[in-house]
Amino acid sequence: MTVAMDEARGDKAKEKAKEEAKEEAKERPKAGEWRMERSDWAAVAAATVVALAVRLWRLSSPAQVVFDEVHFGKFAGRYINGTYFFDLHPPLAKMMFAAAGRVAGYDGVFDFKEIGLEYGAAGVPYVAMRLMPAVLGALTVPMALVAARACGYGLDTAALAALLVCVENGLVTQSRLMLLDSPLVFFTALTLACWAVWWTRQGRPFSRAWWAWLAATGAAMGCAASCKWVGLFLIPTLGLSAAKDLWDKIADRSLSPVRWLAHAGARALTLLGVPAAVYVLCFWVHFAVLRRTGPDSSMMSPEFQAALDGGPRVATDRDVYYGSEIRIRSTNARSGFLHSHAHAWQHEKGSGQQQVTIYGFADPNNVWVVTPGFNATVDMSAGPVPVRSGDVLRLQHKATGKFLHSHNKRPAMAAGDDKKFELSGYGFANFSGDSNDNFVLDILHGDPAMAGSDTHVQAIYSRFRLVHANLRCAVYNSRKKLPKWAYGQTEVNCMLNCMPRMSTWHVEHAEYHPPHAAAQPADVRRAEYRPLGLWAKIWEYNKLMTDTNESLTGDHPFAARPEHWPWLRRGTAYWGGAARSIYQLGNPPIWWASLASLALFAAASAALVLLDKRGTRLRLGGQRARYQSAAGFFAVAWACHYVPFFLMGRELFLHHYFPALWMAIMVLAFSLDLATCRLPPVVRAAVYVAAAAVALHAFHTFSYITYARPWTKDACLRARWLATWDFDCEHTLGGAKATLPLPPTTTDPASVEQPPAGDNDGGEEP
Amino acid sequence: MNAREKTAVFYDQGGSGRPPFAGLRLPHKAGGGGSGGFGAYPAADREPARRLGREPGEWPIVAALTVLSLVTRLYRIGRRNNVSWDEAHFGKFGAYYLNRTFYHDVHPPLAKMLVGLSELLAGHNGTFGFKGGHTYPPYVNYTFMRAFNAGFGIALTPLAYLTCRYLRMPREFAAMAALFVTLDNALCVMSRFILLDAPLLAFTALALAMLARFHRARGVPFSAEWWRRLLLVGLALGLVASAKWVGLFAVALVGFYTLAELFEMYCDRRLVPSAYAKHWAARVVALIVVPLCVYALCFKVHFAVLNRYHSSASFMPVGFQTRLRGSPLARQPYDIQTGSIVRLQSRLPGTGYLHSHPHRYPTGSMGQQITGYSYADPNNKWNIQRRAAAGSFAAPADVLATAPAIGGPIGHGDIIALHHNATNSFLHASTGYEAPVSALYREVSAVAADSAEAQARGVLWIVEITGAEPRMSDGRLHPLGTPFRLRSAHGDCTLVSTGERLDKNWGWGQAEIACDPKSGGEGTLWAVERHINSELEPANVGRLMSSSFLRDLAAVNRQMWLTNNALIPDRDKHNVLESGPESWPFMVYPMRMVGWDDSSIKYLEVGNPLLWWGSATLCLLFPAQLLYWLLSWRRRALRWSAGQMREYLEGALMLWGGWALHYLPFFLMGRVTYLHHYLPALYFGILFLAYQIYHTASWYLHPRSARRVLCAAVGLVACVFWWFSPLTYGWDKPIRDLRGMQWAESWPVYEDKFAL
Repeated sequence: MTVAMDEARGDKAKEKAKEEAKEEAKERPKAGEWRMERSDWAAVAAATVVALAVRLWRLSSPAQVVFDEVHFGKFAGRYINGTYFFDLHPPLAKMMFAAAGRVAGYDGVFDFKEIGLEYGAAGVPYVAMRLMPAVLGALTVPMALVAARACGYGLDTAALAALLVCVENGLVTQSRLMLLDSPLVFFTALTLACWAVWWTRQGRPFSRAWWAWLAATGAAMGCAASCKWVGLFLIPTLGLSAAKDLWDKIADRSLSPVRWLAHAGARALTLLGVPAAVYVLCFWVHFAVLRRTGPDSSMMSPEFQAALDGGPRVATDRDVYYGSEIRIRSTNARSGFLHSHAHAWQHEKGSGQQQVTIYGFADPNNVWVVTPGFNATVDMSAGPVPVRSGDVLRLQHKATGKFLHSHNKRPAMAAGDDKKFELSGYGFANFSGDSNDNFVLDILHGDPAMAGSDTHVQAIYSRFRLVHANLRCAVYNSRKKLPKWAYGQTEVNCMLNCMPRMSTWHVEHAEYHPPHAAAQPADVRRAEYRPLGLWAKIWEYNKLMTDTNESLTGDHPFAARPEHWPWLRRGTAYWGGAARSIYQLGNPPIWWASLASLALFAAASAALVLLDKRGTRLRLGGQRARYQSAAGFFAVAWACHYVPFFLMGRELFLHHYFPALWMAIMVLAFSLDLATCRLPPVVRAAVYVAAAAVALHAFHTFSYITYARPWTKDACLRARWLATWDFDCEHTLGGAKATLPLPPTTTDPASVEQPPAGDNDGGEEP
Repeated sequence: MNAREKTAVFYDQGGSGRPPFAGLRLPHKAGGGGSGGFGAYPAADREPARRLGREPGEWPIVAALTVLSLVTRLYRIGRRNNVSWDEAHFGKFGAYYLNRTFYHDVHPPLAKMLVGLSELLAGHNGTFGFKGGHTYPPYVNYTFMRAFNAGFGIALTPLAYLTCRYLRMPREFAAMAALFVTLDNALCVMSRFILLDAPLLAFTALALAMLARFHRARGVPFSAEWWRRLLLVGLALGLVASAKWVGLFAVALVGFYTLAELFEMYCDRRLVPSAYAKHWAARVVALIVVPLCVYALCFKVHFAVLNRYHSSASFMPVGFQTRLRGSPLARQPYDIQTGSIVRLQSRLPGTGYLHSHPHRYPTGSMGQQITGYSYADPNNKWNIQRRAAAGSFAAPADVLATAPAIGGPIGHGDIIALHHNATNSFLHASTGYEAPVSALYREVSAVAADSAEAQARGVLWIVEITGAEPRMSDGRLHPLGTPFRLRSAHGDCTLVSTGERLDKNWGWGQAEIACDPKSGGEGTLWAVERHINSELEPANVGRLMSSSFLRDLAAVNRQMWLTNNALIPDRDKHNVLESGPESWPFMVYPMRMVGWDDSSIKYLEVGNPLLWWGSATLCLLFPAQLLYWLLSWRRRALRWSAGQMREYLEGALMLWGGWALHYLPFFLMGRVTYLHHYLPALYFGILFLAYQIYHTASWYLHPRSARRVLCAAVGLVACVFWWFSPLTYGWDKPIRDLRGMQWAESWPVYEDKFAL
């Protein structure tokens, strides 16, 4: 295959290349030069003040629950009273809200149940809680300034970037509410700003400042990833930048290989190790605070729940004998217990025999009695006989007396699959059953710490399969919801060639009532779930987050796919009140111009490479090196924070674009600098002022839906620049209707199944 | 062009060629062939006329290797006289070309047509159905068919040899590579049955050989030899893509090679733009147009041979179906009128026929369901009744539902009612109810003929013919060729298939049919697919239908794509046959090809572990090797001449790239995958293994030691091949008698862990 990794040059070409390199070195700002000057500090101070004013104005309005405050306010309350919950986002940002609430005196009682609930009456310190994201959001503005300065741009360009971030309506909307995206954008911006400053310290590697900025980058990155997983996109962003740096460094033969490895190792440590440590630390705090059991606990494994205070303490007899009454739990899914009740299968191709299902809640119908196999006898005269792996046995349903049974009938939810068989309860009075009641209990693995649990069935410690003796199918948890006539419980059937994952079961509760005193076991051993350690908890929680994320396919009316984000096809309705509403829409000129500047960068980069290869080297007015490195870095960062969303099948929203937007705005400012660098200063200033004016004008136009200010219908209709922007103009001053119906929130990941009302299984725990 | 060869890709610091690692010996010029060795290649690239085959001593080697391959592939090939493994599919598909019945399959036709050819030569008359496990009857010469197919497997050996020679490996190492290919048990056993793998592998190998051959002609662009070689690459690509879609990965390999080559030319400032454009044009013609033509030609032959109707053709355009012999659609009464029984088919794929059955909606009007059902059923029959002729009314509102049916052919603008035979009810547009699944649409239901609704105007529909076949566009309704919309005379909405499925529990997963207030879209188009009227004479409707080869080609490829995507594995089900791509390179799950009873002849698809594990290790390590060299080069610490580096890398990237492109994409596929999907990648992997052995030996070893390494490698591989040969050539005793085959715990040689 042809190798085209670099263009080749003759001697002349080499000389020329050296000259060019010299010229470029002149262009490039010398490393290690940059320090914050007094004017910079003044600009930072001014930007912070202005940004704070923009974010804090009317912060208390509306005094109602807005959009996803429903979730994050509620979670803050859970932290404050220590009740366990599950959410699909990592904990840091939520804990910050909880801390803000705690400081301001929120007691965790108000439950943020739905959008539109009044804060005032409940005495919730919501302003203080909103203050936290507002301040963080305001700080992204000076960070844009610092990042631009550190990239070698003048104060004018840096100030323009800061201003554009400051008046971006979407970022403003986002940071004035209790939402996770403001902390996320803050930590993302902080990471990039630290990284930019660190680059200016490259002249003195391994110095204290060098280490400090590098470590700060890693820590900020860890915080971003601990707010939302979107922060993980910083890894490829900085990874690519670091790889480019190392690629340049290795060409430097004055740098010894050991030294180069030290450079690589330092980056790996700080950009992977430090964030990982921060992430783990956040979870450590999360689990330390949420120590009491709560409504979401049932989503976790029994071992996980055992580590929570106040949870169900499962303690049971350890040994299982013939005659033991047992409850059997599906091991690898949170579906519940093997269950039966006195209702018949009603599906076509079914047998009409008694239903066998999986039921998630405690119920006397979950109890089965271990019975010897059909036509087999077990001699129990000499004492209780333990159940061993490989035994053929029957499971008799205690409440109805039926035996667990399978036969060549199709199950309810897989009527067309001839590899799956129905499970039923079968048997009558004075009828001893048949061989289709026989199941082989096959222990897959025991608990290595519990001797004998891999040969003899022990509650909790032995993980086994139930294999039908005739059909050779295994009892399988299909995780499908049965129809109403089976009370929406979970289907269980018998599957041929079944993988162990969903056909693994364990006994969660066993008790043995000896038929006579002589049959009393010698010693009664007890078993209980062993509480998980920190690592296992983090692993389980993160795995559940992944699964929840993947299965998040709701039909929220304001969900938006990534191809619609950059050109701002549509916003998201957050809240509606009397003649006022909050509709998260960006500042359109900023969005469109930043998208255009990214397109320009891509086109320019391709053109520069292609022209270089044919020997035409454009210098872009002496700005090429800076434009390519600085705008290139932020453009790559933008791509890393935008393109991966196309691969995600889950429900997505406009606010997923905000980290990328911050980066796009930087590219926009740098592109304006490039476009005006050769113009007379006055013209350049005029262009900058014009750009700022356009942004400010648009900010003002859409500030009504940003700050929930009363808006006239005319102004509203005039502001609908695109037909796809569906903020409601009927509910404005002079509009047809008075108040806006409240929009829905995003999906609540922790919607827990409650015992269905229709199942007349009820009854007390035996 | 010629100046390009002088260019240095890797900086040459030391001046003379030195091995990449300091302190080691100079590379030896290994091999005795005229074209072997370092540094000589630019001249050789400019002398393609000195063809490989003309060199003395080359052909005896090729012949000897081929004979050996012949022996390994054909030894006891007819031993198992049952239909084995996927012979049940591909033998059957081959037989269709003899009895000329239309069929549908996920693979393109070329390889199956070759199976058909082998059956033709074997004298099969197309009547044996190749039921899995059945014994071959005496009139089916399955031995010949298998041998014919094995010919492709045999061809792999000389192709491997030639490829290595084109990649400038000396004769003995090229022979080693060919021996590796010959002595892999998996490549061998998969060539010994009537399967598509052998042709696919042979065409893949051909494409690689042609690419390497073309590579050697780079120095003389646009010469006759250059053109010949380029066109042969295109031809090979056409063949491999027509055998199986996996062949598209070979197309991708050539595509990447070509793009890299064109980019390199772009960087050459001495190449004038017109010449550069000519390079592009040549490749577009040879590598895009030619393969497409081959692909289309295969389907052209496929369609020409399969001229008998079978119900599997139902996804094809109607014009195609009616041209098949025995098509039930071809002869139907021509004019549809009151009293005709019609079956209405939706234009939306997957909907099927307009259907009703005595089950009710659980929501909305709670009326009798109207659905779309894809299979023949008496409930698909509708009685069409003409209630008012177009022009006889000023507005549809003037027509009463109680109007009696009138005679005469039904035409555009007429008002009709559709009477469901089996349940004695009428198709009715409900008002005020949302469709059960799609809330944007309105519900349609069937109302009993004696109910009040049947007297209401909801049962009246206006016929709107759109896009009729040119030869049928007389404004009247005819079978097949006149698509139409049915607009409700009452609700002002159009009968539509929404594309959604009804709930399995009450709607049996059938397609949702509703009334679309907006109209438009393919879902609103219907056609009379069957027309029954005993009072009318059947006419040859098929003759009036237009047909287009490109439309047929598109339809069949679309259906292949859909069928492919529908093959989704069940993660909870242990399937002895399936395996995931992550398990392939190290051969975690060899596959049992037949039943495992003690008395049957058992074949296991197990490769030569030395070759599989060796090639996988080297292929996985190559990126690390490349990275190390890149960094060394960047540091100007690589003490190789540019020529050497380039020489090595071009071959290595071609082989490794082939492996990666034939392997990695499987991770992105949702469909079920099998171990033999890895075989094309394995072919590249084995050649890469030989290539790496040769280069490592030639850098660090004296030629005599290199030759010893070669002999040892071949000897070991041959021993392992011999060791596993009982599973390759069939084992008819209990498997327990065959000891020492279980080289990894997961292998299902003796027992299958999860089988119940």
